[in-house]
Amino acid sequence: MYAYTGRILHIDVTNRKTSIQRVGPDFIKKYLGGTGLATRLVYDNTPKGCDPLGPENALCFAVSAFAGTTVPVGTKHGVAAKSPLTGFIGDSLSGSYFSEMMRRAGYDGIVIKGQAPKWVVVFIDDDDIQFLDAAPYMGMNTLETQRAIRERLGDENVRVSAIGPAGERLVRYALIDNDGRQAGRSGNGAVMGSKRIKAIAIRGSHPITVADPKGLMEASLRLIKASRGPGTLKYRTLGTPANVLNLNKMGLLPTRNFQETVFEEAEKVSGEYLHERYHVKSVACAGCSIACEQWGAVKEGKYKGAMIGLDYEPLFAVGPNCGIGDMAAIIRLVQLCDEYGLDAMSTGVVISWAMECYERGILTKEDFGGLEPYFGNDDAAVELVRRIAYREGIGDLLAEGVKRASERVGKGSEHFAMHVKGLEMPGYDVRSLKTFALGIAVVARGADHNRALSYEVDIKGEVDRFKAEPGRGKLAMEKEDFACILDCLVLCKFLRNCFTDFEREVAEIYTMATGIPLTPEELKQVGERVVNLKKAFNIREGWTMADDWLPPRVLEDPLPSGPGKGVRVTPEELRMLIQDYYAARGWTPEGLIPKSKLIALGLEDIAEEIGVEEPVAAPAAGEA
Amino acid sequence: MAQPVYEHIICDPAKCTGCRLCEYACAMVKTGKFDANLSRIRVVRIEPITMTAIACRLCADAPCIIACPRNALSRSEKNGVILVDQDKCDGCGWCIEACDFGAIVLNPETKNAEICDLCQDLEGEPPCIAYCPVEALSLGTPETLRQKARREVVAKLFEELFKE
Amino acid sequence: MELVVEFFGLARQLAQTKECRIALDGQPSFRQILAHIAGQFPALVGPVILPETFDLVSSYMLNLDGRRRVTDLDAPAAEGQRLLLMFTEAGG
Repeated sequence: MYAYTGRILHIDVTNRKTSIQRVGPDFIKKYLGGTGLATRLVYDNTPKGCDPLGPENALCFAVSAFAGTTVPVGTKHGVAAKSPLTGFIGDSLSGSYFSEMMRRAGYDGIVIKGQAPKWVVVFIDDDDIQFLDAAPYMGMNTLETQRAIRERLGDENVRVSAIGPAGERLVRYALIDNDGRQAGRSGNGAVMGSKRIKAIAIRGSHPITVADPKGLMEASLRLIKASRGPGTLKYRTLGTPANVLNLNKMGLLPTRNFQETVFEEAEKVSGEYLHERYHVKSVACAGCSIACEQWGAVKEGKYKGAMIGLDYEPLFAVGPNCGIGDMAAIIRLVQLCDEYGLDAMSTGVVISWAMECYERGILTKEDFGGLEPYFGNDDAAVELVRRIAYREGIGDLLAEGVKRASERVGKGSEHFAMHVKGLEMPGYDVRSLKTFALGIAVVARGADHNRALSYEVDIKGEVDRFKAEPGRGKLAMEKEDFACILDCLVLCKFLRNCFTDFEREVAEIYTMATGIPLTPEELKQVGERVVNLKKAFNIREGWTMADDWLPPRVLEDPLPSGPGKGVRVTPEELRMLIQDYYAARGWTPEGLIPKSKLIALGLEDIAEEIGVEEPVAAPAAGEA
Repeated sequence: MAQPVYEHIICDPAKCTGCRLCEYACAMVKTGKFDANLSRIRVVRIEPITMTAIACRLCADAPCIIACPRNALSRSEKNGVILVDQDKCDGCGWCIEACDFGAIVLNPETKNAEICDLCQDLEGEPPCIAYCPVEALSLGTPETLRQKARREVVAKLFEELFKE
Repeated sequence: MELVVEFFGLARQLAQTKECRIALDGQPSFRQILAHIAGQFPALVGPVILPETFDLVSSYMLNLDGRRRVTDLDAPAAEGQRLLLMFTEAGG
């Protein structure tokens, strides 16, 4: 095989057993790599109903078909497991050096099960798998851990995925960091922590060969040039923080725990402001020609010395959403989240919920151990991030995520617990984005913009974003499938507007790299297949229709101001949209997948397990 | 007559994003495989934001040539690159030790030292430059570097004056 | 007729201002307004506003009052509107 190795490494950390599973082109081309292959590995290697933080959950890595090659922004990998936040599929993406080394060590995927008796560092050195004592690294933050392991092993080619203090303490939204990039969402860092794995170090010595080197080099160069064009202008100019002012002007910027969507201090936390006052460098992941990551440094004041690569989602979550209008504080907060190994998006939304609880008197100063976390109190936010990471005091409750925390606290706090399926909301208020409201309600991993992607049609004005109407189901489906293809390949989403004929061009590049024939139609079907696979996993793990729903605030509280003033998503609208989506997908009105559908997608084994018989269509009135 | 001056690959650290596409391209062009360890240009990334790429600098009094016990290294009269005589080189690695820039590769397959030759056998610009997405790489001599630095500092001075 | 144009991202960097007030006679179209802006801020011509046609580059859009995207540049603008010149790309 070219590019791929056809090998999946299985590791059981309980008894330190390893084995190699061979996979052929027919299998791999159904899932490609990334989150697709990782999800399939989770499906196959977790028993139904397993505890996400128990030894039976499988933590699965799968690398991009393009890792370590000149195909731009293709050096990425997916990580998946049963999510400790949602109990459903938890798939996240990261990229850079680790991805390349995983492929070069000789693996398309890695499946890790069990629970080590003592904390370990798993060192994968080509075919040699070692279990190192993790004691010297315990308590270190994510980046310190990577550096220390590299120093001990004495080779820069050793690349490390590590958890921080939050992952060690099983914070349900802990992340896995490699090379300063994160597999951030859905709590895979907690899954790694539950297995008592502090880090996975990997070194590969195998070169990567491709089927058509000349073709691939030429195609890469074309794509590199395209990636410097208008399709990525935003990412190259201000990076994703450019969203702040745009979304604020459109009344979409979640402010003070989604109570408002226009933030009065937006200018001071904008991408424009970041660039003018704090920007030090634009940085790329390995193999990326775009370099969207905007590094900002604080040079004075109480956060002097703070520095981080800032993206919109963490920025919104710990900034406007917590009422914080100080860019220096935001830089510090995101840096802390990255270092402790916390998903900054979930962390911000959890803290904003806690702040609202405090302001409404549901939680008191005593509950917070003397803190007064009113909206905008950045000192309190900094301290809460620390307490969450170490599960100290109220941090132990907040570490459970906003769904569990609000269920425990009660007193009406569920009304403003901003999550879907247990995953905290991203930085787009969905009340005036009706297509995206649907997308986020139904997507398998919970409240997530990257998997749903349908905010695009609303914001770009391809549809009337204030209107819920039939047809949005198909749109939401198409965007979700498209996003899924990118996540399986893997290609970064920021490359998505650099193609003129996406499926054809990408299928060609795929075949040049792997030698595996792939038609544009087959590529398209991968997206649909993997979305159905994720849904199938959720169904197996107890999904019901009630899980495809939005937080009460979105359904009951009209927007108080801004261009969307007075707007909400009504339950009737949402029900209609969801039925429209299920129908577009060929699912039953109950959201289940017919056997025939799964079989058509090449998921015969899954059809047997969770597929339902085709519903018999009721004869239309008057025809009988 | 003045000493001949030769161009080598230079990297602007302010522009370099650390993406390593130059390494992937170099390795493929030179070995037919993607293996950054065999790339003759290497990206150094001191986390998180300090980065640049380094290839052979064609030192005037090249220590690698002096260090080689087998006289396998010599300088091309045409463009100044360090040539490795494949028959003489036995991969002992003295040149690697002598190089202050870590710019020499020992290829485990050929057992030879390999050094950036500016892809003189190819038409057009060297692939590392072509594949650099941010125009951080270019060909330059010590003199062009000096000129560039002087221009930049004066431009900055002028800008400051203008601002006042 | 008077209205306000606000600049974001690259447009703001190039225009070196956050917004400008525009007064034009009659009922100008959005395209005529873009032509006017191009005259006032020549740095925008090329990177944001295309010369001659006064179309926007594909990475930029004109949003009306934060409510909707202007899809027809030849439609007339109205008194008191706020035109937002922002990146089309919505991704985070």
